[in-house]
Amino acid sequence: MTEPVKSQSAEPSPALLGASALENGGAEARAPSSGPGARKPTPRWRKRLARSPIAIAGFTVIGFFLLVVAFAPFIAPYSPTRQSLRSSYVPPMVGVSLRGPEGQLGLWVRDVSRSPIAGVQVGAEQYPVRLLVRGERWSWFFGLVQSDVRLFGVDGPINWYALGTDEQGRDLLSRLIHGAWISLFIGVISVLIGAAIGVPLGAISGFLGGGTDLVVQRLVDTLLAFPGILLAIVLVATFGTGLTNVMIAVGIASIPIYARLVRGSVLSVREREYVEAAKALGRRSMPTLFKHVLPNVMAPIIVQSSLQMAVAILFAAGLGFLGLGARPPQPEWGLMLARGREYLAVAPHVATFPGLAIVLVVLGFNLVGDALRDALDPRL
Amino acid sequence: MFQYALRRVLISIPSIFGVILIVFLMVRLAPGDPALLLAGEFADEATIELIRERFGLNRPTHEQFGIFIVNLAQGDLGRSTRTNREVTADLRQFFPNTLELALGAIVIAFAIGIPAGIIAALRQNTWADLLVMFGALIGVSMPVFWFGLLAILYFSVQLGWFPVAGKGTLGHLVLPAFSLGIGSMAIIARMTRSAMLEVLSQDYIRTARAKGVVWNRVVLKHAFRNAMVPVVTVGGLQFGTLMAGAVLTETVFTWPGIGRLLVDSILARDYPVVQGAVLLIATSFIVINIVVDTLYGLIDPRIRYD
Repeated sequence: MTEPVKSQSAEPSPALLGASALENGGAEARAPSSGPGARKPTPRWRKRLARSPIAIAGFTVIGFFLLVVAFAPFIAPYSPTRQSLRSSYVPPMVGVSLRGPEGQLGLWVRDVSRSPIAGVQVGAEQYPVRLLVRGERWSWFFGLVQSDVRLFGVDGPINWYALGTDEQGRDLLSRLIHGAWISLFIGVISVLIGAAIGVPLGAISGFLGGGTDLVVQRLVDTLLAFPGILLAIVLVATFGTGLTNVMIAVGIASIPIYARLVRGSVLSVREREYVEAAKALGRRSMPTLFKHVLPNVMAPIIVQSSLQMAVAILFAAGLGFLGLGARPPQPEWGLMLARGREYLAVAPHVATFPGLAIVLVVLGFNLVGDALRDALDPRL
Repeated sequence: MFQYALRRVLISIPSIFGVILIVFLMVRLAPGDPALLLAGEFADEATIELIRERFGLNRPTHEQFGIFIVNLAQGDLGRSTRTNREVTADLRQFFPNTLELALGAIVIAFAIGIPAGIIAALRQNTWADLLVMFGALIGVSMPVFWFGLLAILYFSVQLGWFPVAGKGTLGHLVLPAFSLGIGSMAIIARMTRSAMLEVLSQDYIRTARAKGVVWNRVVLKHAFRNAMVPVVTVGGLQFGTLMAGAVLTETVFTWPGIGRLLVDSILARDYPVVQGAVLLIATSFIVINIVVDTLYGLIDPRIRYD
């Protein structure tokens, strides 16, 4: 009798729908009486979320990530594009003196001693790492804010590279910081594209049923026949590489996932009494769908969107790594990782740190997704 | 079961048709003259004209699609613009390698994921459980290509245990298969844990313990076998996903598989090979999922296909 389980994530559990249905559906029913004056109690899922250590960890990571994106020029010690071929592949925590032992300007001396966090020592001179140091000028928000004060750095005729430099002598840390927005941007835009098309598609398919459902589901099946990253690769191969196309490709690749998810949720919600009531009161189907059904399937959509951010960032980095995504000199993390591959044995830090950054951000979104699911669906 | 398999195949026909359509459209929607894309950048006028004639590129689109399907049915996908080899010959050469890699990956994923999940379930809410669950979370959050690079750096370059890249001995397979399998491993471990937890709370487990069956035996004989049903299904479906994941892994380890062939062909704008590789990966994904779905009935006799 039972159909084989297709996939764990495709169909949301009834409880996930139930939790939101109770809260939103209840509010819907009370709608006329509860004006703006009526105080709503804090929903139970939000209390659960605030107590969950997983949620706290996830939101902390994402918050940190957002801060880095927002204040990148201030936080980064150097410009992401400034290169110096004399100081390529400098290992992490090592400083490079701008003045050589003979006094020539710009000579890279290797005898700069390693010193952990405290700073850099050249001969007898010590250059500590300090907060709020004057460095290169930067501008922020389309040149609205300009300054030469940076969050941290070394004062003196010294360049100090916390995470080392890449093949062109660019500061790896600064590039990571300046590249953070690319990951965020790809994630957000592709999730928006996927949800904007996938949600209505799945909702209409599930709500109307019949021929519409059949056509939409075959379409979704076709897209799902391209596993994982393959659909994004196909789209990029067709329409060309580059950041914009990656965003669109990863977004389109997530359409079938949203469509499947929302269809399943709508199928179970459309039998509820309040939908029946809306029908009985003479509402036509589209207003019913968008006014009564969709608000009650938001919970799985929100959970999926957080997990989808993680997937999108991984996919985009993968495409960058394959040379199908961002183009140099963009500080995209996957692309940076790929550059580090050629001199892996000589300068392992060039490949290591971009990967760590990806893991951290993806982990953040996965944690939040898991925590949201736990909070919205206490049975799991 | 045969009937079910048949129905599953019938349901998949529109999907396969859709895949063919998308692959067909790839070249037509890509910027540039399709004939030029299929003939390659350095082709002379005569070759381009020949290609145009052969694929009917000067005829209406629906006729082109018909020609495409007829050619496909005859196993004719054109020739590579780089090597001038038959695309089907390329696919036949590279596909078994990808299959080998994916098989290795799924074996490793099951071999590590299942014990890890069982331990986590038996020691629920202890540090062992926490460790496994955190490891699984890292496993799904990690870019495979990054893990692959670090594995090469540590195990091949520094320790010298495995070859750096390429294919040949079993040693060549270990690192790529492990990197590719790590995501599936994480999913299988999570799945095993939750399935075991659910089974262990069932009445028949309590009964078995009450009648004095040794705990280890309860776990292995009574709980494990019942918990495996969903795990094997989800794990089996992972196998299809691995075919696509191989694209990244094969690039890192320069593994001569179909994924690397695909990426190289995209970068070289070798469209006939791109079409063939995409078609093959997507179709094998569909076929593998049908097989897994059907085999599901073999491990769980409670399931009736009707």
